[in-house]
Amino acid sequence: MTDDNGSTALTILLVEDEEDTACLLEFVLQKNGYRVIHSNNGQRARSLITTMEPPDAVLLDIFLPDTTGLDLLAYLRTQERWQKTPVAMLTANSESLDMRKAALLGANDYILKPVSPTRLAMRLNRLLMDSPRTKTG
Amino acid sequence: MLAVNHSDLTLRVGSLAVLCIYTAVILLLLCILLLRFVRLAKERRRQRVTETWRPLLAQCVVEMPDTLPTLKPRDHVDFLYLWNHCYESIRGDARTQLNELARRMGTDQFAKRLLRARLLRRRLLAIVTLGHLQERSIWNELAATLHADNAFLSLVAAKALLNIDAQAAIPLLIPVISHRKDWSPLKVVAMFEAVGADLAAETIAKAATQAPPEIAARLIRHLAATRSPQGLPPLRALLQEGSPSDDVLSACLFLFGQCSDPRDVPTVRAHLAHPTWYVRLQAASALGKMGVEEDEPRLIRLLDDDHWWVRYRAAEALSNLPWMTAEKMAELCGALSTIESHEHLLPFMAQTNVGKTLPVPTAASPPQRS
Repeated sequence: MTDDNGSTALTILLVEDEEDTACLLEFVLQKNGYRVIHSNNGQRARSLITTMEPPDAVLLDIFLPDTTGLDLLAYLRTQERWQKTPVAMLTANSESLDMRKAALLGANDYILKPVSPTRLAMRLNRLLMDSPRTKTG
Repeated sequence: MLAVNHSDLTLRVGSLAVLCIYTAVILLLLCILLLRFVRLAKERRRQRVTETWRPLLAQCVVEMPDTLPTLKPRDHVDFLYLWNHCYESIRGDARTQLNELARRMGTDQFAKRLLRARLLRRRLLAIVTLGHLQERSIWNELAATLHADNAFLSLVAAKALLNIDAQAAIPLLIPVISHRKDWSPLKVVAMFEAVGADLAAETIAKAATQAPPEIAARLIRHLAATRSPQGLPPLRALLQEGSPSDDVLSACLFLFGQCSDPRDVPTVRAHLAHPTWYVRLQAASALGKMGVEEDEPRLIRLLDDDHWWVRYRAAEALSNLPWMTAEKMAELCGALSTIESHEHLLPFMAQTNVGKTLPVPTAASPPQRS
């Protein structure tokens, strides 16, 4: 996928059910040069995980209408191609139990809502830099 | 002849009744259709406002759009819902841009007019919006709303005051928090989220020291949710200066245990022999979280307390002590002199021993029922 300048845009899979928040995050991410694929429910996200090529990173909301982000994360990590895809969990809940569970299931970062657009971009950049996929090309 | 006339009259009344019923049914159907039409029109309008403004609000978070569409007065309420949602979905500098957008659209003036709306939900929307816009001109009005009969309205006003100027709002809030029985302590704690845990803890603790015992105890218990030790000094002063009620005392001990500040250990120890059982219980639980090795005999003594719950919590506290191992528990259990204390310690011993195979403790001399 190339952008207007001919350079390759990094792809982010955004799984977020809240339309307003999704629109906002999508805009912030696109403004930072990412290509965004959005899924507003767990079922669509699952089918995307099964069918699409792994993106460069995943932003995954913990509370989804039909499943939880943690279940989806567990499913994602069972897919061989998605093992190294960096995943950042999105949630308004700062409960350390959720954070621990997410970390155990293989989440690479945990972003608290409400998000600061600048911080989101920074965290995502760091996540992508630390990612073994980015490092190994 | 009379019979025919009578039947005519009945027929006429019947026909009239049927006509009336038909008319009523038709009118009712028309009303339903009209309501449905109005609802659909409203939904379409809301959809249009959302489609126009959602991307613009998202853009505004990153950069201010050069041109903005006009906002019709009838669309302003829907815009406010979107704007507030967007405002609460972000933090940081992006909020300043959203405020700028709102002022450009005349939202501050519109929200001020909405403050006098007949519908409660519109008044709530106005208060939330003006709080986000940090509109100082409505300060007095919001301060008066703190005493409104409707708890929800007063809580929203309190939050708006905190958003406008937290430092100035706190002296107003302390007496209100300490006297409003209808304010849930959980809501009070949540209200302070935006201003920081330390300020929240300090304010709630000060409010608790002025509140009647039943409100104070609830507030103190919920202070733990702030995870800040700033609430402790006012409570320490309260315990030193006066003789608080048992409810307040036990709530303070609960909080001391949660915060585990070593400075509170002497206070906790001093209440292990309190005449009220639930004060002793909280002291035992707190000591399990913050006690040192010399507190172990104190907790062991509580295993023989008169009250079942105190014995149970003392056993739990003993098992929670950081240096307590399965072997030490077994040794302790074997050395107990009464059956009650022995029985209380057993379930916690079993918990400690999960996954291990240990011999059943054999006491040199079997414990005696006290």
